[in-house]
Amino acid sequence: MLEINGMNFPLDRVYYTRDGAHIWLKQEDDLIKIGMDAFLVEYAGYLTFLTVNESRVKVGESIGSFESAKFVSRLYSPADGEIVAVNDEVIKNPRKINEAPYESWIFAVKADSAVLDGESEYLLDDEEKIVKWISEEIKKVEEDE
Amino acid sequence: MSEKESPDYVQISTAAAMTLKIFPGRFNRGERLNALNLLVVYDDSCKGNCGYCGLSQSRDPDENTFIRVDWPIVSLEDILARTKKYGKHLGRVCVSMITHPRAFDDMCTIMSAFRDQTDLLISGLIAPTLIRSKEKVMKIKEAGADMVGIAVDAATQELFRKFRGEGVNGPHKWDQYWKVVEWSAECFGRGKAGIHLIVGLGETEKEIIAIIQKGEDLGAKTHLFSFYPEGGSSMSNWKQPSYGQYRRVQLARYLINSGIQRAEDMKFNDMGELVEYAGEDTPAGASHLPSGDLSSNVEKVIESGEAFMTSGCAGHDGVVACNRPYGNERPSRPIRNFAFLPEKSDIDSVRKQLVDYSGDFERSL
Repeated sequence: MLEINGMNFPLDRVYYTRDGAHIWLKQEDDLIKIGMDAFLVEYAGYLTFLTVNESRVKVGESIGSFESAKFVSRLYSPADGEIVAVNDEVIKNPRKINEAPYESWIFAVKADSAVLDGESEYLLDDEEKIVKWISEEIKKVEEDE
Repeated sequence: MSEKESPDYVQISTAAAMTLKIFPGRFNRGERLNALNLLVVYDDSCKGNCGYCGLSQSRDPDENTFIRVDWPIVSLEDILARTKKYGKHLGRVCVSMITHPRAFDDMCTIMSAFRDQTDLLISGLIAPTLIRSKEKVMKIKEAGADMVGIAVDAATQELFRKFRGEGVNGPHKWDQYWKVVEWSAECFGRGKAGIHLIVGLGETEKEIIAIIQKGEDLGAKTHLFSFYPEGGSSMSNWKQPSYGQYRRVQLARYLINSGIQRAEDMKFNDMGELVEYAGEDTPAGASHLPSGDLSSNVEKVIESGEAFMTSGCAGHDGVVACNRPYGNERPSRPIRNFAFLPEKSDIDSVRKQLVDYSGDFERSL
């Protein structure tokens, strides 16, 4: 487990970074479970609404949205494939994601091709790269404040 | 008795809690809160029973939002410490009473703590039902406030009685509220007292614009809110006012409070909807607001966007500090009170809303 500025980033999964997505991916058998990382949860605040609208997804495309009392954004897919499951518990109670972001997967994808093979520049699993990425993201937020 | 009561503890808005890093989160579109909103808190809560309010005695006890969001209870000591640490850009704090016998004294105690320990300007949102003399209003000033607000909320005496007074077995009286508005303007000075009005409680545009003018004539500016149905309240199934209705009232409020026009010079249709401003020609064949002639005063006001920003108490710079981002709508919906100067695309949208009398804008969402 990596801890950066009080935020945890477990190293048993991969992080999708494109366009500030802050999505984690974890392979479980032939499925990839997908959720929000600690940085995004901290940035968004206590979640109040979460939607997953699509069944076929393409990498980088919006598949739904999430909303807190004062913030709203789209949820992006890190893979091409088919959504085979949506976690109804977090759809009904999105605040579960605030309480345990890495136990609260949002949807599971059956990917069209291998995703977690280290080819994409937007997928990080290396500790050093994750530290660099999150540190830069924190700096951006601090500069905006 | 709980240990978490005022004056040692207060409730704080979600936006203020985020700003002081008590809650996580950022504001959509990079907005920033410029004033803290605090509320006195007691175990036995507010004695009012207002139909639309999240603090109402008769509300479903499982629901605990107020003005759409959570209000965590935090120690005053912690809030003061965090204000010093994280509140460099803040311009004001507003301490709100509720209708509770201890609320007045505790509000003053909390104000004095901010006066003594911070540079923030201080507002009091006061409960007229508990304020029976002008001397009591003066005590608020002595405690450190430079402005006061009175939440009249309902635009007519009948709606006030229906939703705040006898109609809900509530303690509030229309005449008492206006007496305190007068005392406040006298004690604090013209423009240093404000009235809160909520658009969408069943009033017509003509009625609420008339009451905005009444406030202005008494020396009180209007701080405008859009009704939002609080879950568990007796009005939880009500709709918000249309964007058209809200925009026209926002524009009229700005014109009146800026001294540009008076309510009696504006024209209304049979539905009480605002259709023409003083001295403004309507487009040929149309019976609604002009929409493109930048030579007119009203057009200049629309173009500037300021009329559609949040109205509230100002900071040291004279600009509204109490900007309440997303106080009246979810962030995924079009903004009703802009906490920042609207951009051109926002103004384009506002223009469409201003001339919408049939709810077309809502249907397009």
